[in-house]
Amino acid sequence: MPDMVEPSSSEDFVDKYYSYIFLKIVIIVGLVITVFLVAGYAITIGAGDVTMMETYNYIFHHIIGTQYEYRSPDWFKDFAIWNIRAPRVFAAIIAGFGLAVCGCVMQSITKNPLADPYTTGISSGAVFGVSIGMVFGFSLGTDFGNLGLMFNAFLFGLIPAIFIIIVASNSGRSAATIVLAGIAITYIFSSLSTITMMFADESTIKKAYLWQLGTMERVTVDMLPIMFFGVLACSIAVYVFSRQLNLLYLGTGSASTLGLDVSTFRSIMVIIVALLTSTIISFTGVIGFVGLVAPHIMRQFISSDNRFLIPAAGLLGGAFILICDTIGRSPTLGWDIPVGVVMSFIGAPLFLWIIIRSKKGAI
Amino acid sequence: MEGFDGFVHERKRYIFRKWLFITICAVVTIVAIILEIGSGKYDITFSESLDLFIKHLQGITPQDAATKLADSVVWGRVPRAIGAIGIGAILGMCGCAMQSSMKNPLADPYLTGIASGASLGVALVVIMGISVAAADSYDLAIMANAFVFALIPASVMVFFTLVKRNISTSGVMLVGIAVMFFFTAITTMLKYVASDSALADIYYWNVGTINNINWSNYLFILGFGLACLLVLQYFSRQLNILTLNDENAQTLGVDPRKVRTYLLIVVSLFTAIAVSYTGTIGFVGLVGPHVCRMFLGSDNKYLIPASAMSGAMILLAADCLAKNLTMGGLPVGVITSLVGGPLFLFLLIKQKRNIW
Repeated sequence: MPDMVEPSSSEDFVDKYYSYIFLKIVIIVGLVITVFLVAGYAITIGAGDVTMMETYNYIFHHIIGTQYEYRSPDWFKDFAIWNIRAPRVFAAIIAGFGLAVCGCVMQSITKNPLADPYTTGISSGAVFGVSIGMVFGFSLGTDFGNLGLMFNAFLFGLIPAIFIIIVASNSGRSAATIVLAGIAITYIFSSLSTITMMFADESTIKKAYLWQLGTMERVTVDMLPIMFFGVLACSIAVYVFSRQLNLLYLGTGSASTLGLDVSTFRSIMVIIVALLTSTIISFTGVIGFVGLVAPHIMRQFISSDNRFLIPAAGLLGGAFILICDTIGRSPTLGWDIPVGVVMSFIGAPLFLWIIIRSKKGAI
Repeated sequence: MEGFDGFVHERKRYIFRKWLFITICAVVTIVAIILEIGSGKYDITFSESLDLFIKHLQGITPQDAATKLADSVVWGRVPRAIGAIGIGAILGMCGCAMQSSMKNPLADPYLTGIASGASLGVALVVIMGISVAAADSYDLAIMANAFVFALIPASVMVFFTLVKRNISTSGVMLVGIAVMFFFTAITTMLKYVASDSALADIYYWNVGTINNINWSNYLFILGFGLACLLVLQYFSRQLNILTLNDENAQTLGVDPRKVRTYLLIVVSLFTAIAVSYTGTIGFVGLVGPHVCRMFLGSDNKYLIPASAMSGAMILLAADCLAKNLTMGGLPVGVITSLVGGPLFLFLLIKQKRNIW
């Protein structure tokens, strides 16, 4: 808490506290507006002319249920915006939001700045699920094809979490042990994926590789509600627990003294993170960086209070993936650059710059 | 068991555990060396191989052509064993030093972005034909590029510690990760324009192999391994002090920032050397030190040599398994993860104390 000066009286203290909160709320509102504006702009990109205002207009009308005459110009524009462009934009926001929220949670429960949504091994599990889906045609879902791969990614992404919960449910375990269990599981699943890939031909290897890079392309309008409500429900669940997450900063001992059942709480959090990340990963593939970095950047501006950090980091993550995806698919570049690559190119220097500029030693 | 007796009992148990661990490591390593020399893809029986090896050691040269050939095959396996020990030891020690100095269990020798830098260097040679050294041989160009590019992320980290004096350990690590993401992004873009065979080359380089170690370079690796051990052992006391918080370390006369920077440089150099010979072999440098911590606690005076031993043991044993179980079909990195991963998980679940 940077601006906490010695308060002279209790009113002074209350004032300070409100101004402290006010600043954070301003930042969060600013981020909401940013996401809204960038989303509007992102939808205008593509074939056919639509202005930003038109975009908002069409989306608003679609939501309130306006019907257009079949194949009229309005109908075409509405169709293009709602069915082709908006899914990708919304998917980017939802994915970024969810990953950044998971990053906050993982960094809090493991007390490790290097933790990200994939620390528990979710990505390696999902990649393995997709690999065996592609190579052997093995699917846990009913029908095969893209949907079968998604089922595989989702369900195999949850397997590592089961191991983590076995480890975390013992009350004597430190946060580091949980992290290490995650690492061990990551190694096991990635070696299994490598073995699976040995049975694959070159085109399958390429397909699997592209799946890992992460993209918003695969999300269609009928998948969006599942993704949206999955991420929303999990994020609300996380937010409800944000005070308890704050307690974990004090250390396991102090947190239990204050009435928190640390091992149960950690297990619940691991389950929520696993569900959230698996949902996202099954639609978009593995997208790194944002889940790790968005919470750290927001900590610079908002401190580590999870009540504010979680929504702020989530919004930043959403805006960030959206911007990078928009740049990556912009027609001037000529070809689609994967969102993860754009993210690293822009995000890494930006992050280094923020570290250099930060006044606190906090980062 | 209370008071002094309890203390003595604890101490005895600790020393027993330490010796047990060292004995296990030594036994496994020796068994692995024998297996490594005694087995391979050629049709020479185990006892024959050992016989030839011992005869060679005694200086008895074989007479007929067939035995001569067999002798050269068996003798050719020796540098590989030595190399595996050297590389495993370097990775284990460097991992241990990184974890202790950064106070983070997730740290490993590649924390400084070495793997991403080296991959980029290799991709540049394989895809674009760009090399830092005007080397005539392709392999040498790859090695030189891997080494030089591996050091770039570490230089950025050192630069940050010099420019920004109040940077925290997590700050330094995050700098490394940011650079790593940046380099990986460049490599990804390069891979887009690469041919399939170039992609396969890069992939195999990334998985890591100790096939490249032979009679011409095993001495370098052994030398570097010993040098690494000496340097890190010299730092072991400072490393112990670094596990306190930074103010306390300063009170004890250790400048944490300086020591961390030195260690960063040392670890990066030795890891870059290892990587340029073998590609990126994961798991050993992260898990080796942790297994040692489970048995030995966190005194770096013992941890550094023990990590070297366990690293050497893991890599050599994995190479033996790879050679014998899958006839060399699986890369050593896959075996370490596949066998070592569950074993490590089991140890984690069974252990009573927390290692961090």
